[in-house]
Amino acid sequence: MNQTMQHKDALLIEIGTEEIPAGLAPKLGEALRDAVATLLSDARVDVGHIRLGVTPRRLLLHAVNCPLMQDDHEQTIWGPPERVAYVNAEPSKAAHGFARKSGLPLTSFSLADKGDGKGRYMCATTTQTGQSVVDILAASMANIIRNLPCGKQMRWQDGTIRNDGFIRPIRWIVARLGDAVIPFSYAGVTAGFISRGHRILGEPSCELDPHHPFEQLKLQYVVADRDARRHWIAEQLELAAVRENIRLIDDPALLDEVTDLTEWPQVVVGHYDPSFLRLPQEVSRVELKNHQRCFVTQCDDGVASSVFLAVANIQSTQPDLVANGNERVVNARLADAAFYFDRDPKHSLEQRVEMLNHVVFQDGLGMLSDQVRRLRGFVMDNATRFGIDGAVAQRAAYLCKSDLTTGLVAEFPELQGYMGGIYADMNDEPIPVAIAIAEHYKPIQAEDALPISGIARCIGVAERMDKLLGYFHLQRIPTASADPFGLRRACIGMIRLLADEAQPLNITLHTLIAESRKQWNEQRVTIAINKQVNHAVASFVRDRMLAMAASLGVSRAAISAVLAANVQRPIHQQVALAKILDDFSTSDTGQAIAAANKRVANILRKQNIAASATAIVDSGLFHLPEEHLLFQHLQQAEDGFLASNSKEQLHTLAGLHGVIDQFFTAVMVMDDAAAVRANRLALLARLRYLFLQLGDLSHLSV
Amino acid sequence: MLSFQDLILTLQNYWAKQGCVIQQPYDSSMGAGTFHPATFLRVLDEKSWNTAYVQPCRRPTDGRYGENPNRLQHYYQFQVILKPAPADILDLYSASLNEIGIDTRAHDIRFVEDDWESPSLGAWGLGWEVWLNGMEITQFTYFQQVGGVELSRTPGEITYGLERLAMYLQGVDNIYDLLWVKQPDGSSVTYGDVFYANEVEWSTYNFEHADVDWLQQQFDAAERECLRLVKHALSRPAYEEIMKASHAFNLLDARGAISVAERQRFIGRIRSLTRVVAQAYVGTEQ
Repeated sequence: MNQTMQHKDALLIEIGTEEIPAGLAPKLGEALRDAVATLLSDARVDVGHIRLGVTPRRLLLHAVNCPLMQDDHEQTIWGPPERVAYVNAEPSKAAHGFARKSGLPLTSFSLADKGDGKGRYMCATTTQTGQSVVDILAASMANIIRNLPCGKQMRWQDGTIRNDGFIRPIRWIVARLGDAVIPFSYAGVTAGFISRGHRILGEPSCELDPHHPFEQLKLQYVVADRDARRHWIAEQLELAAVRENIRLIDDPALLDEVTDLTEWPQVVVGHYDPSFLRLPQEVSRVELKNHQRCFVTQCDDGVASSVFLAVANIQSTQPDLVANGNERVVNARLADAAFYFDRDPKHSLEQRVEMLNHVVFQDGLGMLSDQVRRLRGFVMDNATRFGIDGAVAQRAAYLCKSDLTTGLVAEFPELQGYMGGIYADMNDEPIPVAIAIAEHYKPIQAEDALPISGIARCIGVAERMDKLLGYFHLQRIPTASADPFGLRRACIGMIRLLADEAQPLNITLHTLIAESRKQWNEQRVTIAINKQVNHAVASFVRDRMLAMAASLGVSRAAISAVLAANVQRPIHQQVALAKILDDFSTSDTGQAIAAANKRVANILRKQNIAASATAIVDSGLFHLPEEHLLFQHLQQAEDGFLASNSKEQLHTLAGLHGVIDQFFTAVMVMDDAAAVRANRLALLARLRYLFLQLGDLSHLSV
Repeated sequence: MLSFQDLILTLQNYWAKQGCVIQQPYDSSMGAGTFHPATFLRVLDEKSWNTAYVQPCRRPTDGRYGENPNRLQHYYQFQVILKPAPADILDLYSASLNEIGIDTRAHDIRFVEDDWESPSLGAWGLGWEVWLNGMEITQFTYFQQVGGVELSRTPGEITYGLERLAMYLQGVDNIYDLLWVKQPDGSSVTYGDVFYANEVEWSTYNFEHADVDWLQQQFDAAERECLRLVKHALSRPAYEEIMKASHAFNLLDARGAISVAERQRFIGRIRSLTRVVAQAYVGTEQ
């Protein structure tokens, strides 16, 4: 029986560590919470809400009302059916055997209906007494910690407990349910009641109140609640901005990072040397963000301000020291950047293009200057197709890598492209050229916006395909775990560019590969990018399309159906078609037509007959009106099918499902007469071909 | 004001009090304190080992002819190895900062993830760069593997960048202005007095005069010698040949004599040597 009245108390688990890398702590915290929640719910312990605390030095779980005991558990054991269990109303050998195996006396068993309509079975009800929750947790905690997703695990403890690792050394563990310790140890650390405060400001050891750990940690200069800490930083940043009369440049990723670097965040206002305001804003931003984890600001009119905001992990006794220290480092960093920014323009962009003759693109694939020539050739050849200005595009492609030889980009590679645009502008290149150069690497991250410039898009697609072909030629093909050359990311970026319907790039994957390959082949006789590479690249791109279906707003099944089409389409059309198929496949007609298509496909597959547009159908060999009817409708459908758009095509196919159904109801395809049979199969091959122009609808779920 | 040499002496005294064997710099050129046998070889065996030492480091490509206020081709690291790393190693480190006059209650000290990998040493570890008000002053690493050998007694390595720390402590923006020591008459000897001419000459040598063919031969010879010595179970002399090969490689690099493809090959050759020597050392020490 369930115990209706149960004692509950606060559950507190804290894993105290040395500083966990920013970005990993929240993931580890959530994984820990999920694992403990799953453990308890599997054990039928209703722990209620588990509050999570995450800082660089601790993962904290807190539940206010955790049961002390697991519920008793009633279980019904089912044995053999009555006719086996009883012979002449006496328990059979089988019944004795089953009872023995269950560890219950035969008298505990009765007969009951299982509800499967097959009569009564031998059965017994047992009650398992609930275990203490402390025991349940104690038995599993070490394994839970061991299985947290650390990525790179490290070993730190001396001696023999070498199996226990973590992302950084664990230095203390608090684990208690009310006043009872949850006894376990991991990596030589034994769980107890004692926690630690902030490394500098807090006490080196303190017992945590299991009822109010978050509040108590605050007194130890630790804001354990990550959201609260993040919010606190945002508030302090805002306050500092108001006080300094400047505008903060929002940066959620940076805010996340500083949240995960601090337990007691304190925003510090610094000023860098105003002479560095001559640097492009992006240069200072990247520099301060990536190297110093500082926020940059603007004046109200959008002009850069020399005020920056650092987030320290201490309430300093001398805050000026912290500000001055940060200013020193920031000034030294910006001085570096300014040195290059002032020196770079001493070479013209033309000279810099020359220098690319000496920069290796990739060992085995020639120089960057070779790549530039290929990109230029590509945009020249395809300008009309893409509806871009060929002269401008060519110029942009010619200059797009020139910034790679600048000191600033050598020092801060993340500024590539952006600096190219700035330097092009300073060189009085036309604005569209500068914009295309600046934008052509976009999108870099999955969530990045696409370029506005159509030329940038065109260069971006050309460069990514160029890269894929080159690296596949070298057999540097990404594996499931390793993609050292970023080919997967390049491919995803390329697909996003090609899938965008707002600025459609009308090129099929097939043509794109051919066009890119042409540039390689024209240029380097030594690199014959063979058919196999073509094939491998094409299937790599298709695999990526399948993998990123959700982010393209379509189902994987629909993409898979569309990719099986026997007509080449630009990727943006494929995605649009997949969307149509997704809408369509849930409708009744959609289901019906997919089913009809599947039937046709199955018959042809069994007979090993391929879809064909040219299969000859002889109506003289028809026996039944349903054959005539289907043929007639098929011919009508074929007429002008290619010229109509996908929606119309789908509509046409949908219109066929009635006659297809009638055909299959009335006609036995596999007629004994060979000629009749072949004629019917030819009819179906034609029909199948028509379907395949849209895609293989049999991939859609029916 | 804490002079440059006082900084070194203070750190030495502090770590001596923690029971570290205070070693002296190794008398062979190397790119980092990690190359010192007191680190590279001593972390490989099963014995406890605590040591601290200052080590001059040579990075030929970082030379700037004395013209850059922050970069040198020859500079100092202060290196601490605690094997096995005690549980309070970060607190010991924090206390060392207080010892050299950095009040940790006033300054912002942060531990920012920075995992370490040395392809040529066949080594990797996990740790942080330590920030002092946003400036990196120390590399902290828990070694996991060295010379391709999985380490069973995890050592903690603390590497202080001495010039940077001193510049911060002395409030100096140019390395060459660092106070090295005060004279009895009140005048100062600066870092520039000691090392400026050194930087100019060595930069000139590293970039312009180092003999490429001879360096190449040195590399080959050191490699041969190393492999020969290993056969006689002389892992320490064999290891010194790796340092020589490695330094020859760095000089070739500064001379621009190494292409991208060759670079990988050179690093691969050094890595194979470190593996062989590490195995040999472990074999004799167990």
